[in-house]
Amino acid sequence: MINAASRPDRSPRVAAGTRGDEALRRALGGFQAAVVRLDALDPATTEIVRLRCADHHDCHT
Amino acid sequence: MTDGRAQPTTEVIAQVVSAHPDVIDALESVHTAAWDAVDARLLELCRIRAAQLIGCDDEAREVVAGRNVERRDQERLSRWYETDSGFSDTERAVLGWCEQFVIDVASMGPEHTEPVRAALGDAGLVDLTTAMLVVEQRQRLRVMWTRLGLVKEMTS
Repeated sequence: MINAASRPDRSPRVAAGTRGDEALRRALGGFQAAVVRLDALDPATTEIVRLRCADHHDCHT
Repeated sequence: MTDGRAQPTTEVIAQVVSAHPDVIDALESVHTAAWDAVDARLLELCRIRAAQLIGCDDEAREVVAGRNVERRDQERLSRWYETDSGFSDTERAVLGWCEQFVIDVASMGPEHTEPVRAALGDAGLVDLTTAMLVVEQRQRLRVMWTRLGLVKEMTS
């Protein structure tokens, strides 16, 4: 079991409304959509892995 | 591989994910977009350092031409934090951020992000973060696929 060493403050690190490179954002969205379309792994296992990764990375979204 | 060079990660992905051409295309599109969006030298330094940390030896050994990184940069990259390492303040800030990203992203604090934001701007930090995700995930996939025996690793 790996635990994060600490939990940092959650204050925004960039100004509200900051947007990155549009082509990169679009391409990342395309990749994520392609991954979601994969169906070899059953939904329950997929969700367990997703939740475990989110917890490990302290991702609350 | 007959010339002693490791198989490019792009070819590894195409080999392992051959049943899903849409995923291959999407991975290559986002990879291209990442390198287009971020300073090539900064991202190449991050790519090599991440590969060193993750244990993606084939990528760690490689210095890609055209990204303004020399072999001697690669050789001194593991001691980038030393004042005489030859890296600029911006590069040292980015490399510190990169190490935190790879080792423990959940503990990424303002002490890591603020020097990078000050150097690259808000949008620059956002783009570097996204690009780093793209670069790092390819290495993690390659390491796992190698461990699973799906691809061979160069040992020399």
